[in-house]
Amino acid sequence: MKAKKLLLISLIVFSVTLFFGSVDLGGSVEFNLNYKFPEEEDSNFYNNFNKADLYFKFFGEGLRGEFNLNKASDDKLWVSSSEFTFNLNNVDLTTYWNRKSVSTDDWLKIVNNEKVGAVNGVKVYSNLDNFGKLNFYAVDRNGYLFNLLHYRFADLAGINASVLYLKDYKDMNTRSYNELMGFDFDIGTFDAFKPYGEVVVSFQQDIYTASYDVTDNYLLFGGVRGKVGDFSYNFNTTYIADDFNKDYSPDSLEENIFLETAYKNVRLTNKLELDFGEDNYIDRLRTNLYINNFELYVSPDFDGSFSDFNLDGSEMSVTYSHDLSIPFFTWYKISLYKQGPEDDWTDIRHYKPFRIYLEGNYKALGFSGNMKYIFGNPVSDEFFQAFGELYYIDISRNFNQFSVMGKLQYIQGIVEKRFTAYAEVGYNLPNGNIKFYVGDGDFENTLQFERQIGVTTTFYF
Amino acid sequence: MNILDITLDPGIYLGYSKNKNVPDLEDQLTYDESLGLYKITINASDLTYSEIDEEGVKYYFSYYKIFHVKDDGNVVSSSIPIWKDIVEANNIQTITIYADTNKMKDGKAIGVGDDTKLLQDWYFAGDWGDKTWDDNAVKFQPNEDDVLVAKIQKNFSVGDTILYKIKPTGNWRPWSMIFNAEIYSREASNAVYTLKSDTNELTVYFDPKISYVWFVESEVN
Repeated sequence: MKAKKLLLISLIVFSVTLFFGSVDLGGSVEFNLNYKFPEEEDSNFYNNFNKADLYFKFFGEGLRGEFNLNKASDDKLWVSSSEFTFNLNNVDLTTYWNRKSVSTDDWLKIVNNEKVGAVNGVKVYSNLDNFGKLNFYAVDRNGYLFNLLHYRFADLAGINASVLYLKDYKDMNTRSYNELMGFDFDIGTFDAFKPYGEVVVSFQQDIYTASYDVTDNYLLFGGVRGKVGDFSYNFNTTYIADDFNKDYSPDSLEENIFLETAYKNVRLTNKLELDFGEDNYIDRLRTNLYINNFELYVSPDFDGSFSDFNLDGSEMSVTYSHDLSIPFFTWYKISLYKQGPEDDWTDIRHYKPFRIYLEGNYKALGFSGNMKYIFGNPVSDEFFQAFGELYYIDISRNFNQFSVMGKLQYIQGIVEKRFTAYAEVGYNLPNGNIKFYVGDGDFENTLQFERQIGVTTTFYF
Repeated sequence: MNILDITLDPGIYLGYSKNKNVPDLEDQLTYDESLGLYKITINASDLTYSEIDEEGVKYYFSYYKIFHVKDDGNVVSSSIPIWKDIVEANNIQTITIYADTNKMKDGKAIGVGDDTKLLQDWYFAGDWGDKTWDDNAVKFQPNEDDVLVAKIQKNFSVGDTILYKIKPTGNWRPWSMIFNAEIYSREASNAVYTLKSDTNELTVYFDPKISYVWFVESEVN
């Protein structure tokens, strides 16, 4: 019975492909089926097909779209997300279903699609040539109406500016809502001196008590950049008042003072991370110096002020990479990282964080690939947060219509060993490709070999 | 092969930021008979945190792992995060870390956990109903034994499966705290539970002290 449903999924893929192939549309259908070998004996064959995803994209005159179909636990196929765009002269109308697609392109990218999250609704985009560009969203966010208007004026004598307005209802009973109002500009008239900046105010209120007082609910960003001969510079400051609503913004949006200078192939960036206030709280300075393929990173840690310099929390790294024209090796990179000094340099086991990183690309007999070695504590902040060594190699080659790729990773910790591998074979067809794979290729998240196999087919029409 | 010739005598050890992930004799867990678990208590002030950037959002975690060193093959847990926000919001001075050696699995968090995980919310998110991954995920409630309980009312048949994860907040953030019944990770695959009987109430138990999940099926009229 359940095997029939798999057959049904395949039939749907096939018929959808045929249908869109017969009308005047282009596009692609990608279908993935994954089988995980069970650890428990009582699980049945069908349920180990833990993934059956269909990605469908198409484009034709005045229309493009994409949607995903997934197999749910009740064996029903459901559309997990979709996006369709209709082009009408100077206007694009886009519909969203469960898509993370609301964002703005102002200096600070103040509205971020990850923070807004998945929404259902529509967007109108209009390119009015001499009258600028307009983006307008009307979507359902967590069950409430969310509107965003971002209008970018047409360029005038090198001056570019935009305004944005966001209104997000939180509760229809009390009519409470959040608002953002922003303005950004870029004056590019003179190469040597280009001022730019942004002002945003936020309000969290309801219609009965609405007021537009600006006290501690604003953000200021501004600076100047320019170029004189081989020398260029860029300086800016971000100030965020205490009550400014950062709910829609990337959290990389933080108060700082930034200065970048460059002369020919030497570039120096300095970012001072701090909290402005009556007593400014100085957190950390991050300085990067780039000279050709060499990079030096120095980051002194300050616990509040320059006089509270904390050497133990300070960081430093040097990185060098280089192309090679010798047999076998084509490129290498070496990087050394250390946090703070040690009281006892002879006892590496109790060092504060440190890392030695080596990487190389190779090419031989038609094969090519990448190798890595890391020794450190931790090996990685993200995927192996402990003392150890990591060895990694991948290899790939194309033979006519076939492509093969394999990779291995071994991590040796204090008393643990982690080994994983992944391999895939692809075959290119005139209008698509088919790929078989073994294992999980995401080594950062699966440190141990995953007993699974799968097939992914992609057809273009 | 041992890295830097580091060897440990048989025992259960804690590797964390204070000992730079390299445990010594003083980092051994001791057996608590009343709990039936191994445990060790550490000072929260001894922890240092790493900054993890989750697509523009910064979180601070201090990771630890438990090494069960024994003659017939070592078992080492995956790295388990302690979330700085929870430690600070609750003004925590000491943290107790637990291990159940009968449940521990090599490379997994199963059988290992800590008491900071009792001070935060957890949600059971899965695919058994409408929006049950997101808005309609079920928030766990603690019982008298500090085990978290979530109930799902639905007519299940034997052989039905539920894909699920346990998330730390309604919006899944921080992703690094998402538990899939095996590891805490931002991108691990979904856990699967297969129904053993026809039932209309499924109770999910989650013991965050030892990162352990189990299910009870019952028929309720």
